Amino acid sequence: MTGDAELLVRLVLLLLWLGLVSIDERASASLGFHQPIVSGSVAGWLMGNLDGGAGAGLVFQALWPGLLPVGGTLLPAVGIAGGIAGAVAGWGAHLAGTRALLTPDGPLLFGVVLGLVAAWIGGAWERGTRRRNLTREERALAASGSLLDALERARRWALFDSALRGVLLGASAVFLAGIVYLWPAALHLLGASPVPEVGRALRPAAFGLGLGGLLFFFDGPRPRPSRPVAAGLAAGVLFQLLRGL
Amino acid sequence: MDAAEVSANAAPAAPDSGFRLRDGAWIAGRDIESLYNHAGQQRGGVLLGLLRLVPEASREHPVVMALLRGPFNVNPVLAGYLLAPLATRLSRPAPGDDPAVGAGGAESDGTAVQSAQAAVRDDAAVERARGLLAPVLSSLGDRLFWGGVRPALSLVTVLGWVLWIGQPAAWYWLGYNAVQWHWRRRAWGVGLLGDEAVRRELGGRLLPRWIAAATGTGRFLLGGTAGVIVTWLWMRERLEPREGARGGLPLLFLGCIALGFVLARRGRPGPLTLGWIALLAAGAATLARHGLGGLGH
Repeated sequence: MTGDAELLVRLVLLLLWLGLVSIDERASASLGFHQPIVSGSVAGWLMGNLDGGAGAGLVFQALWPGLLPVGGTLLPAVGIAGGIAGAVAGWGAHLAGTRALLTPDGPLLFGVVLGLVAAWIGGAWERGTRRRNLTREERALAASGSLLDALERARRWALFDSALRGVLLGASAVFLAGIVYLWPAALHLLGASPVPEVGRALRPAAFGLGLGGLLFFFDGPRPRPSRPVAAGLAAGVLFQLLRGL
Repeated sequence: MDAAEVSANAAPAAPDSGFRLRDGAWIAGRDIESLYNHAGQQRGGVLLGLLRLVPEASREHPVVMALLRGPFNVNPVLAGYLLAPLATRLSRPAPGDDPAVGAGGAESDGTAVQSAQAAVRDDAAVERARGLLAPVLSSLGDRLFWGGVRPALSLVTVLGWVLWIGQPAAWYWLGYNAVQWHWRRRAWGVGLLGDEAVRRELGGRLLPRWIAAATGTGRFLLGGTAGVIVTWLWMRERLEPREGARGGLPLLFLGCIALGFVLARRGRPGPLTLGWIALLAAGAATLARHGLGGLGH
């Protein structure tokens, strides 16, 4: 497998993992995948460095234990945050200690900053999810026919809503990390990109955004006109990138 | 609760119970949060879990009707204490579903009265679970898991990472799931014994003991972590931990730990908070001694 293909596979697996983390965090099962140390370690491992990811996850784990969800309080999405921080730290592990990123812990610090932003956005997303859940529940309770089937249908949309949060936030963060930070830093340090062309660095990130865009298309039983447009745009960009590179 | 009701609740605990212990805890409990919203809270998820166990239950069953009337919220791990008795009630036919009712004659009249009484009891049981038991369980569950088990396990991960004791993520994941599955199964098992068993359990010493043990362990580990991190900062060159743990990482830990606890417990500076603040102070003292530049090399 070439380096590009391997990176692509890694990124796809990372986005799937973040989708699972997001579901585990707010919607179903709660098996502990959403704990930052777990999500960060696995994300770091997927991106090539487990210990780097664990260190980043641990930062959020240290921030996390004090938060108390009283009465359905909206919490920051720390599972996704840990995963994103772990992925960035793991991906940039080869740059740790080099000072190419201003500090020896550059990938970690950048990952943590991205994770904090993602945690905040993820919390805001959760507010929207709860609003949409109310609509889903009301529709299920009002539906004729089997109540169980109607509730199962509503649950599937709710799970999808949560998964979408993880995938989109992860794709955005990976895109930012790859384009804004890790790639220029590697260029600065090594004199050459870790991947031969800018486009190659863009491709997997665009794939993630495209995947998120396509998923977005299926959000909810009442599609809005903007959704297929966004999905089409993402798919078009993805197609062009894959075709041209 | 009268004696007849306790007896009726206790019946499904027999070996031929329709609700298997492990499957019930998983099937009924895993999606409680899935449809969480500000109006019904966990109502949709609770209904979903119960209907998965008793798919033949009708919309008009008193348990379903009572659940639909208002919000429902309980600690997801301990939810079995409430869901198992409700599932037991749901498995009994609703008055309208009983073919004997409405057949005419004095015998069927008597059956109708019994069914109506059962419906009233079902309704009261849901209201009791919603208004009385769920808040108690939520309080106990939050103290056990959010205030005890999770912080303690988080400290285990910090120690495991700094001291190179296995993979911290594995420690957390295994530890948390061992504890939560113990309680999910126990809650479901006790719940199947009936309301009286649940009330005995909640009034007993077991849960408070677990809470005290988890909190005490957390405090012990907090002290241990403080010592380890301060030593690490002081003797950084010789005690360098894993790859990637360079520079300001320990300071980042300290900052996050202190910030997390101050944010969560603002206005309530207990011993735990003071311990965490002491940790931050130790880090700051070390920083003052070595300087920020020295930590980066």
